Amino acid sequence: MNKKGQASVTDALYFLLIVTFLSVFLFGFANSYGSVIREQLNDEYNTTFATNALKTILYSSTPRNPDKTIFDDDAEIDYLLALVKEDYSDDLQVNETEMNVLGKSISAILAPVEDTLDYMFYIHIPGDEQKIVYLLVHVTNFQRDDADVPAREFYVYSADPTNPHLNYFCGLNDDFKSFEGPDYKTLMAKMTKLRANIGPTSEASSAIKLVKERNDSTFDSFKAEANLILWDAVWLGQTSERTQGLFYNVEAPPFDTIDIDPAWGCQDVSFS
Amino acid sequence: MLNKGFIGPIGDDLPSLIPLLFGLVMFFSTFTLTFNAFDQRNVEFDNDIAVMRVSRILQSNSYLYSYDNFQELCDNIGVVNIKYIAFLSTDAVRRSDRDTLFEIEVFASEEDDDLMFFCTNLKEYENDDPMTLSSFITLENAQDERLVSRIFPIVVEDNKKVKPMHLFVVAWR
Repeated sequence: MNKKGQASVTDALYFLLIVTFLSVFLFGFANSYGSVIREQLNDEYNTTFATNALKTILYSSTPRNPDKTIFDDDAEIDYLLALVKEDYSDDLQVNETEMNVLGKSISAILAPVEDTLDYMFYIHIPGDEQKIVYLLVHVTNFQRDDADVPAREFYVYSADPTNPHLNYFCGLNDDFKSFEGPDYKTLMAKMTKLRANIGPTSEASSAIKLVKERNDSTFDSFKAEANLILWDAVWLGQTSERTQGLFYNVEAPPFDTIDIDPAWGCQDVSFS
Repeated sequence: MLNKGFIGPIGDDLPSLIPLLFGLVMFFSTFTLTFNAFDQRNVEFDNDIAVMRVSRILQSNSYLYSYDNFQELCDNIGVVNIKYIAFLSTDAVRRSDRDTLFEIEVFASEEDDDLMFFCTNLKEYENDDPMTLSSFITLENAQDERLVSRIFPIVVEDNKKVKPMHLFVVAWR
């Protein structure tokens, strides 16, 4: 009977312990509630964006002259894909002018996301022929700053404010001819490695038909594939954890010359 | 002697009431916080889903072949439980310099300036020239709301050209 007061305090402390566990559980549950749905909504949006962007690229009209825009009254307008097909049919190469026209259109269509996402658009011929027809790579031009954390190596990567983006035509030999055969295989392996290491990607793919002109001026059509891959902008060179760069062969900016892995066969281009 | 310090059956249990009350306050505070978090996130998801629904109908197959086609799709949206404005714009394709989303211009047909490509369930808006998002909701008003916006590339056939542009969908409660 004398210990009645102590027993009720012990009971209350047990009650407090149980309530604490319950509160921690509720708090944790409230914090994580909806994160899966949010992720699914973002995935749905990113996939829809990539699919719409690819359709827009393939359906759009474009001026034949890269110095004009589709909104100029005196511009000679053609379907973008028809222009590429026509150019490819005679010498089985896309020429520099048509590459620029296509690149400018892709860059304009993806302009709303260019500050946050990097992307590549490519047309290739899979199967026996194995050839890159067109490859545009858009990446963020990162600069690296030391975060000044004492006794720690900690860097902040941010886009160069004077020139935030870099564009490259890739899959090209020195004489501007498209990669095929072993070069194509090496490039595709590099692309697979890049996709596996850059985190979540949004991808869209579509079969298209290209034509090649025969000697008797008739045309043979064959299947090709257009692909668009978007990913969150990340540094694609070497890091302390990654000894081999995904796109660049350098550890970190700043550098005098950007050393792109030669297996990509890239040449820089500007659409401004 | 045995009753020394005894202040009654309730008085003896007074010290145990402190952790009890503390526990109850903690539990109900967490419960209220959790309930509010659920409620807020459900509202956000409802808005997101409504925006996706509106944009899915308007995108159709990413190809709008006329102004009438756009209006037909707009009529198919039906009732949604949020305020929305969906419009087409060429600003991003033209790389027009805009400081905020509210300055983005609504696309008007090249064939007829009066044919403005927008779709909304708002009963009142300004008929500015040119029309921008701020004709429907101003930056000041938007600060009191939680706006959800999405952008999708789309092609529109206008004046015998298939033009790339962007569909903007902006929604709020």
